[in-house]
Amino acid sequence: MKDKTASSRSDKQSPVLRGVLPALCVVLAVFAFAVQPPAELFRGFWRILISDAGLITDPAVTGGAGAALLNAALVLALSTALVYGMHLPVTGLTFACLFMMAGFSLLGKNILNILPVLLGGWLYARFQGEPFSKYVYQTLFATCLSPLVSFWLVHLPGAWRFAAMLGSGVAIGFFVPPVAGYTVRIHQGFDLYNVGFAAGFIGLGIASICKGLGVEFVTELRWGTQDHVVFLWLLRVILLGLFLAGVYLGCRKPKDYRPLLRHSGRSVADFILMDGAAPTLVNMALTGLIGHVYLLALSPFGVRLNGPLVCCVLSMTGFAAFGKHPKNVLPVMAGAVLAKSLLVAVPLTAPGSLLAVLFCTGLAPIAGQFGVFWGMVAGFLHMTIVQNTSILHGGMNLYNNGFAAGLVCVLLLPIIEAFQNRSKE
Amino acid sequence: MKQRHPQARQKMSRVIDEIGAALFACGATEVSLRLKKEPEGLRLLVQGDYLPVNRPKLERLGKLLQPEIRDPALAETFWELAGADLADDTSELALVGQILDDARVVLGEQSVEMELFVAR
Repeated sequence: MKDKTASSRSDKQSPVLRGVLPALCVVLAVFAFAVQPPAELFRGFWRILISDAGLITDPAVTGGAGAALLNAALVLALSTALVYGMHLPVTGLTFACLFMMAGFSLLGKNILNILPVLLGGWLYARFQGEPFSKYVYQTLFATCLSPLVSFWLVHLPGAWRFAAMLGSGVAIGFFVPPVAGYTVRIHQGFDLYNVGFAAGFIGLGIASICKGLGVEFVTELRWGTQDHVVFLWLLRVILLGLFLAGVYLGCRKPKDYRPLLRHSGRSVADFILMDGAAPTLVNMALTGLIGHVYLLALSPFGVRLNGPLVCCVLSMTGFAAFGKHPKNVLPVMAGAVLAKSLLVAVPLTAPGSLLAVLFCTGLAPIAGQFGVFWGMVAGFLHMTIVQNTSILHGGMNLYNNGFAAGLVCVLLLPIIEAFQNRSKE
Repeated sequence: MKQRHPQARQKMSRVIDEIGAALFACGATEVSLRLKKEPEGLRLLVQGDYLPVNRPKLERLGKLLQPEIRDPALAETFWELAGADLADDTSELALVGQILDDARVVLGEQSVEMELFVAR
């Protein structure tokens, strides 16, 4: 076998693959300017920057759909520039992380509140004596706690607010990477939203300390219903673009795509590294389509696409390069829908439960590894547990579903193993 | 910035775990492992046999250990998952490929030789 020296340099990768994320920035920006007049767009964008951002806040309600999309385009552009500037290759993790950045800019992250967190991550890398490129993804994921930065901006007076914003953001960016390195061992890679699990504990700690000091986090529900058509077309363009890019790169027959479905999805299932870019891009389109179709199927019940729901679909799409595929997400989603149907305390179209059905796919590796039944059990448990986790961190952890998914793993994995050991005997 | 690898030893023990398991899964009856400490890092020399029917598996293993692209951020985030042996999946071997800083895999008719390197 030929000797090969691999490199972490990105220059070997297809320009089409490397062009996907910049193209997504452009699409978001074009939609932003197309749906809102410029003056109103910038006023709305400013309102998003200076408003609360905790769960569940739809920036399209705060500043308008165009302003929310402009925010997403800027956050994605900054994140992409960071990754590309460090000459990191585009892998499945890149797509998972950057699609989450774009998606969660429609559910709480903004170009202002993520900055102190990024500084904290950079300081952690300096502290470790390592290049920042090693921690860049964990730092970007750590911005899930950025609503805390916005909270201080809105609720503290005078110069105190800037000190608190900087201090809390830097602390988050500094402490999330080591905690995330620990939590990944707890769920053994079965919770794809590992940083969400870590951030849940950090958020719990912060919320508890603040409560002791007399500060209680409160966020109001802002849930849009006015911009359904804009978001509908946005998702269609993104998913179709990914599909066509995959076909262009060579995934033209079912046999080109099918091998990807054999993976359980457990971390590290980086489909770009294991199966190549073409089937991965097609998988992203198909997996995202599942979320999209699910939401459209609920249209008769009054469900309309908005920032948070588009965030869910983008997260599913991004993680379809890093563990999710139709075969492992559907059982988990089915379990969550079953829970929603059976449990009277979980209304069918309540915002939290709509998000949970799509975000529970972070547990897709359980279905991929242990089968449909356990996948459904995981989805069912997730739907019930996630209803009670947001209160623990005061809604400051945007990856609340990642936190709940980690707890599901802690509860379920030993039980699955006990059953499997018994059946082996 | 000077690169350090404070966890090279732990990383190499995970690599040994995964490679041993992978070779036995390919029908190996004997696997020799030799670990060398070098100024730049740890080098593992592996020799083993395999059943010819499993050659495609070993070819895939070779590809996963010698990836065209290595992502240091991915390895840093997830290296502790290697060697957990919970899932019978190639994803852990792909992770080993990311953890390694250099690899050489030579397949013979019924034998395999590997030289795997983790930098300090």
